[in-house]
Amino acid sequence: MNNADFVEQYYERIATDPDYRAKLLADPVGSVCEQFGYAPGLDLKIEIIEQADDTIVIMIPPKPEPGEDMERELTRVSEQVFDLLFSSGIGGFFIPDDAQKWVLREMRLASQKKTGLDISDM
Amino acid sequence: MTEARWEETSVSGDFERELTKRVWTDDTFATQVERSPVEALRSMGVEVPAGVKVKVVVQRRDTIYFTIPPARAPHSEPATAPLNQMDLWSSKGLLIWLVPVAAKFKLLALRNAARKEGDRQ
Repeated sequence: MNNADFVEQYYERIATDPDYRAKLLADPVGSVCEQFGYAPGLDLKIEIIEQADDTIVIMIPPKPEPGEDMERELTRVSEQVFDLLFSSGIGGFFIPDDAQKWVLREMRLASQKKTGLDISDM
Repeated sequence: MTEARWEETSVSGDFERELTKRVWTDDTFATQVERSPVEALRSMGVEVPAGVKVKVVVQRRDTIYFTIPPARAPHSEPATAPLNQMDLWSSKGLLIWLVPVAAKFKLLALRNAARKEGDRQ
């Protein structure tokens, strides 16, 4: 199984296996980490955003840290609105803070190793 | 909602800016908008169109958001359109709309409601 299959099969399972979907919603960190073969740090938090045909989801940026210029941040946010208008078939991770990005990279690496694809050999 | 209240919160009719501003400056609203988005949006003069649900997520810096496709019947045929996989790094810099094809025009209606409200002044 190559990595593309791994990803596609995972989303297919999430879409069509109600028991697994329920488990994922109940325990996002445990389910995702088990699937990816990744050992989570203590502070890993994952929230599932479910898409549904009748639901519009709005994700608002986090409040600026104390000391940040709120007006400037509001202007920036207003100029950086991202529409996913055909989102009936999107899977993926949204990572608000760069501090988290290594977590996702390690998760991806773990999943690649799990499928037998070791990119360090390439 | 009253005109006066809207005037206080909106000068631009820019829905994304006004919504973000309310969330950042009003903790009560920030909680309400996640719990009962329709009522919260109404309080800022925006009616959610009938036939569509709205979910609002205020991003937290310590959380990764995993977006999953809609549920389908078990063992159903694969969707006709391929699933797109996309990751969004630094999503805290973005206000993101996730809008299914079926609700696309409802989004336009929702945005239009905000715009008209703003234009009335």
